[in-house]
Amino acid sequence: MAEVTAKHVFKRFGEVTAVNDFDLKIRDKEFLVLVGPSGCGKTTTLRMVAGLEEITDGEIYIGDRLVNDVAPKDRDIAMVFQNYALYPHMNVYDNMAFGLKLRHFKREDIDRRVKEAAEILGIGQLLKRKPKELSGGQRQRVALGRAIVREPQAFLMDEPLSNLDAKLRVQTRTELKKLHARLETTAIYVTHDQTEAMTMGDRIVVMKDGVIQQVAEPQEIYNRPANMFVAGFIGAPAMNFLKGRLVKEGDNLYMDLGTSKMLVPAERAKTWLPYAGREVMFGIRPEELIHEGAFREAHPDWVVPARIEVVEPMGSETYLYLTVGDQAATSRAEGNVIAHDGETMEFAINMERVHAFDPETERAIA
Amino acid sequence: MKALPYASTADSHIAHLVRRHRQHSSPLAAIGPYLYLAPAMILVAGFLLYPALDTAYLSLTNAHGVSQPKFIGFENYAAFFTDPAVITSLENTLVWVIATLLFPVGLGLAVAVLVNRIPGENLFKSIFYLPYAVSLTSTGVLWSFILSPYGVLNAFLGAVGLGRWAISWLIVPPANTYAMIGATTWQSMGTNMVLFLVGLKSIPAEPVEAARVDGAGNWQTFRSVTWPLLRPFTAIVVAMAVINSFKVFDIIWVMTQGGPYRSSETLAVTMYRDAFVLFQSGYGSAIAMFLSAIVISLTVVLLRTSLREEVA
Repeated sequence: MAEVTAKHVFKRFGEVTAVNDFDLKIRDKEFLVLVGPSGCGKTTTLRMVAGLEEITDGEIYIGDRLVNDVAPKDRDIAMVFQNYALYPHMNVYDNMAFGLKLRHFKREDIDRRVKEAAEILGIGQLLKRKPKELSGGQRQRVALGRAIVREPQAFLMDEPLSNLDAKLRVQTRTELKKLHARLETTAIYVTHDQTEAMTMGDRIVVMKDGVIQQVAEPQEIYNRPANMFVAGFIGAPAMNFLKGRLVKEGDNLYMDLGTSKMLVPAERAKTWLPYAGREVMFGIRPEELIHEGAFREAHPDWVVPARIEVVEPMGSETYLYLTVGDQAATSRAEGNVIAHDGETMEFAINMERVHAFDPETERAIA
Repeated sequence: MKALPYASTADSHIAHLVRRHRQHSSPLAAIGPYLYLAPAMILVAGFLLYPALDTAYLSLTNAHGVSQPKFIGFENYAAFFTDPAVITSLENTLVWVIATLLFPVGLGLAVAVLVNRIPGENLFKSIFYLPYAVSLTSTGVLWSFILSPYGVLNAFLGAVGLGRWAISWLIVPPANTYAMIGATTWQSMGTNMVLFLVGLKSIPAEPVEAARVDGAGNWQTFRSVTWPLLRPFTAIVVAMAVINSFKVFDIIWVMTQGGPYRSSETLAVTMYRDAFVLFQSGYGSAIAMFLSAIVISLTVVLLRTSLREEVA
């Protein structure tokens, strides 16, 4: 168990900078998720912590120890790979025992640890089998078991769920989280799936083009995204971005979308005031574009007409794909909403929860 | 195993079609498949099966190319186990087999591991592979110059002060056999290296990385992960090397002709000398049968194990 600290870490492959000034302290026992689209540098960062990739510049510490020049075998970390990376010629027991044998553990200790881990993961009956005789989910557990038995300072996980089918992925997600709570070991988890990031992370690091965009707890990331990239990447369906202006009329500030104007609540108006008279990118989550009658009636100042383009019923909820003025948007409505393609309906935008971004810097106006 | 209902329906349907086809087609149609097979079968029968059977028969006679051969049973076989020339030849053959595994194969593996994924890999690969473009016969001629008493090797030994080690490499047994093995290593190591490199590149990176994270150093990673995963390739390389070393002939014939005094002969050379130089066709055939039996049984064993143990 240890802190993992990255101080201004860079990774360059020739001309390409894969990781650009990664600077972060990962707390002891924390479950930290690195998330971002492919090519954002999240896996490279993880591999640098593991020692599988050299650091071009900067420092990485595991605990108090600088590990830049420490071989992977001496870093006391365990890693779970995307395709499990089990040793195909060894049975499950030997796969899990391998790291302990290399560290010259006593045979009884190896046996106890392997059996305990197998018990926790529910793979006790598979110990004699070879990896090729296991299902994807079982292989996944063996890979986890191999990491657990080592009792390392930190777990590194590189998209460990992405080869599982959708149902198993959801189930394993919960199990991993429980496992982490039980083991209390620092974990760094890489994924491109924002749902995994939101559900599993104590903190989330959103990356793009090798640069950290935001580091925060899941709710914070969702409610206060630092920029348009984070806002659009986290949340499904993605946040709507509507171009408009902030207009000051008397003491009031309005969000002007061209076809309609909506009153900005006093609290937000204070922070947005410097942008009065300027073009602004507004970010509205689909669930804040509300068709429900009571909300509309309570907030007549926030109502905007929209044309329904496509209705997508999901069962418990319905996604409505709309055109607001001439801009596309999505609304997440109740499952029983009655809507038809081509129809124009009224929606209320929850102005208490609208985000505004500077269209040039793409940063949140806050 | 119980047949599935639709499978049995399909089977009976096919059987019905075949019956109907037979009833309505010409007699030529029945032998059609065999006509297509005939050219290959004639080639195999004429150039492989017949000579093999003929050799087997000759090995049981006293044929020597002049008078009518006489059937003598297993006398030829009994004779060569007491023939000092054959015993030396057998010993040399075993030395060739073991040395081939140690040098062209072992060094091929070592070099493959060393050059794999390093900068300049392609350059090294080409350099080590280049000698394979030279035929074994040319290799023999080339190395005869190098190893001659006044050749490059002795000149070099003299120049670096090791002149007392300079000998007539191709004259003194067993140095002559070792010298020829050296020449063969130079020529054939590159092929093994290339085969091992193909194997190394087919091993996925993840288990190797997992081992490094698990606590394995370079040697342990190689021993516990790379080497076992390389096994299907090793089996093929070893099988080919062992079989080729049992059959080794050309380089010896060029460099020493098995001499002096038959001291560097191998089974293939002995067989050739007895059958085609001394015209002891019956005796030579017996040696050929013995050699073939060894090579065929090894091939079967090695191919079986390599196919069975293939790591999925």
